[in-house]
Amino acid sequence: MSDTETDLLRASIDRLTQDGRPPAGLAGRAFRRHRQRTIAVRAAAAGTAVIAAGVLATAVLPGAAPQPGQPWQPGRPAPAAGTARNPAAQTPAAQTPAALTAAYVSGQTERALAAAQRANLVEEVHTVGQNYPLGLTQVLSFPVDGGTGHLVKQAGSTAAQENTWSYRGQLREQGLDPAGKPLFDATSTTARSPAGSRTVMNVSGTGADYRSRTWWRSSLRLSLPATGQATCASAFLPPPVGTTLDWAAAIRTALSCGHFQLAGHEQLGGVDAIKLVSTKVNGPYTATAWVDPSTYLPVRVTWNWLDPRAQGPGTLTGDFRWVQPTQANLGALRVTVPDGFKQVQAGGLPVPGINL
Amino acid sequence: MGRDDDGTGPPARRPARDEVERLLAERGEHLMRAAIALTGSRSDGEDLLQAALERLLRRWDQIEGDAEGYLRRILYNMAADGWRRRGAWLRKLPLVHASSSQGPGTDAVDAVDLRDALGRALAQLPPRQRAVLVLRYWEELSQAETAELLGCAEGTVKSAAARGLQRLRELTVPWHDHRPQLTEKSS
Repeated sequence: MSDTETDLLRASIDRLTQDGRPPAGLAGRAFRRHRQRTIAVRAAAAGTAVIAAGVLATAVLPGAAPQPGQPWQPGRPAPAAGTARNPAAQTPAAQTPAALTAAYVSGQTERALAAAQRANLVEEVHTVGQNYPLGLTQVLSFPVDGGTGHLVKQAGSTAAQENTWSYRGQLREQGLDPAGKPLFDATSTTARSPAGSRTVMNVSGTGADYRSRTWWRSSLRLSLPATGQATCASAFLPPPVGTTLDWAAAIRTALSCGHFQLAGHEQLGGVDAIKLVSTKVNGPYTATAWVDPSTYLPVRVTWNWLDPRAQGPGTLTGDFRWVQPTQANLGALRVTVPDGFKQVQAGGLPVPGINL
Repeated sequence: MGRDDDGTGPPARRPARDEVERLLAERGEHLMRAAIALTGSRSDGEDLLQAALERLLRRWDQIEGDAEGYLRRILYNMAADGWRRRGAWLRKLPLVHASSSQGPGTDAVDAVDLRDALGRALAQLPPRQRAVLVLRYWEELSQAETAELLGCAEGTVKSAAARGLQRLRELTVPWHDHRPQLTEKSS
């Protein structure tokens, strides 16, 4: 390898390791584990193996090992066979009880999300907003410095809850009133392609507004500066709403940066979910994630914040599930425009979750 | 059994906890970066460094002098021996192929892409080759120093480095073919 190549290799390792600060409490965790092991070994040496097992058990959170047959997310329809058991969670490390650390859970979740993405699973999210109106987005373009700038704003009807489905660049966002009646429904397909130092984002889709009884087709072409790899300094758990962002990749980055600490277990729909609390505050936001110990996929993510413009603390709660890309499940990505709706044609019509 | 901060054992040296915390405060960033380079992700690197610290504590009474040297030796040897996260590297293989298949573009972004690609390609190497490359080209140790730290022959280091570099070239062929452009852009 030439000097140039070794320089590049060195630069690549520098880049890979750019946020190398050890997490707070690392030494303390090592000492606790060391002490627990010491106690266990002493107890075992004294012929009290049962006590030793008890001591070790304190370092093992229940549910660390996958439980055969455990439902993926009780309370909602069970996914098709093969979905519930994430292949990334079937490693020897996951099959044996392990002392859970935030790094371990984050790593398992990071891999489970990557495996779900490779398996082309359909991501379904049911989001409820408190003091947070959920809605479609509109892109306003304007000339700036010889180029084009873009502003994203919320547009059209807003809802208190919504369902979103994501699958390989396709997104459907359906807003509902508190009784579950549809308020808006829109799909989009986003394709990104590199173009020099920029990324071209083509978005097309169909939308319907139930209040105005109108529907439309949208088409957008945006040229944006290419963004580099997310750094740990900027990584944060994205809000659990419909977005053209690669949500799974974003959460993987946030987890791999070690921004979460364990906060025990909580029952969620019959799942003894592992709770991870963000140790990083992003502006006024904090985030919490709950992970299914059998799949290590997130089952719930909440965003909490105090918006000075709102009347009180706001919360976004998103419940997640991943299902196989069967014909039936892929059908959920389509919008059916009800009979009698009038088609409208204008520029800048709303589309789901544009995020530049 | 190694002495820790509970006050047991003879006072042969500073309490382990004080010394480990001082070590992490002074050299933690470099050690953490090495652990990330050896494992490919921050979360795995954190686990590796914690595991190395635990092993250091188990041997605390046998350590004389510089604890950092012992910790680095443990860290690199655990990584070179495959550690328990060995499978994680294999699962990252498709990601590199997906990126490589796109091939190079023509602007400065490619230099960044190549660094990313090399970082990911490094993750696909067998643990010992990876440890050797990190020691030789990131820590800038000589062959002899690398061999001494890993407890192997210099010839083993030489062949592991050669095979590792060759594999990196194979994994980054789409960029490698455009090296003159990339060299220019990355300067």
